[in-house]
Amino acid sequence: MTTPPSPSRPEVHRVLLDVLASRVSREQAANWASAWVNAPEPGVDDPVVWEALTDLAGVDLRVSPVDYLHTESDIHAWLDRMEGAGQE
Amino acid sequence: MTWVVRAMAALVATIVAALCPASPASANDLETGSGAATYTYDSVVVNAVSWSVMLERGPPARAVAPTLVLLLDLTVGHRSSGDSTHAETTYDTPASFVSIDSTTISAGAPAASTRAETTGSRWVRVSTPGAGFAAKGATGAESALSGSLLNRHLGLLESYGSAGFKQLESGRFRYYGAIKPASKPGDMVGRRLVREWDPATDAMRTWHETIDQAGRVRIVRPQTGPSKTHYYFDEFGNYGGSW
Repeated sequence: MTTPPSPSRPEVHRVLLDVLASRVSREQAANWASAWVNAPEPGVDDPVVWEALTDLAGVDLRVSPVDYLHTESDIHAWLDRMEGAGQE
Repeated sequence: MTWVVRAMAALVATIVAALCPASPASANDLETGSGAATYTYDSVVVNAVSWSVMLERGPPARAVAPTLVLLLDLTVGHRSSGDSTHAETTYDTPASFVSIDSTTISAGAPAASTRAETTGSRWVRVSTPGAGFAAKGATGAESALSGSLLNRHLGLLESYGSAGFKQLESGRFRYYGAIKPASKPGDMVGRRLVREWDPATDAMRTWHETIDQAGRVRIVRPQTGPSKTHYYFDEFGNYGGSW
């Protein structure tokens, strides 16, 4: 299976916002990011994008059948870090 | 002293040529390290010495391949003479790193006791690669494979091994990402991404490990597709079920 082209910073940023706004589920966001994180050769050269993808790939992790590991505060922190990295 | 220079040249050439150990069984404890590290090799031939390669990881914002810095600070010589020398070589890219011609390896370097000391607080230590890398005397094709495997390893290290890696007994490599903290109150403090690579087959698998306050892996979730299962372990490491 071919790995899709790397997403851009704005694309990843938008997915993070979508998760916070519940426009996409955590599971959808994690599956989206996992297309690169799980790929044999992710092809993501931008370290800011890569870090955010690895954030998102685990956004649906749970500590129990009903509780997520990460809170909204964590997602805000990921967004802050990404925004603090500036433009590509 | 001449033989020491020749031996050092041979050693460096051996390392940069193809990462092909003549004695792959020794010093293969791949690990990350900080502070001082000391390797001691007794009664080995210089050409067959196990060696270490220091991989300088670039700053976080760097998107290119890491710079490989070969840092050898060696005391090479017979036990009786204890001749000392120092070598430091820097190459810009893995490509140039593996393109050095290995024919400069000199014959006749005498058997010697070799002690290698490496120090540094921000290095990832990469010791002798094990099975899967071409052996000494490899053909051109095998050498090419060695370079390919090296590049694969470096790529995985860059993407998945920010917190280090280790080589398993099986020859596989396991790369650990940094722990991403979780602010949710409870036993779990965060999680990390782990990738395992088998150089023999190029097979890879990836999973998340959730870590508790004591640093124990408590939940493992393989990244196996849309249907993901969490495997839970208690604080004693006993499997406690899945969801």
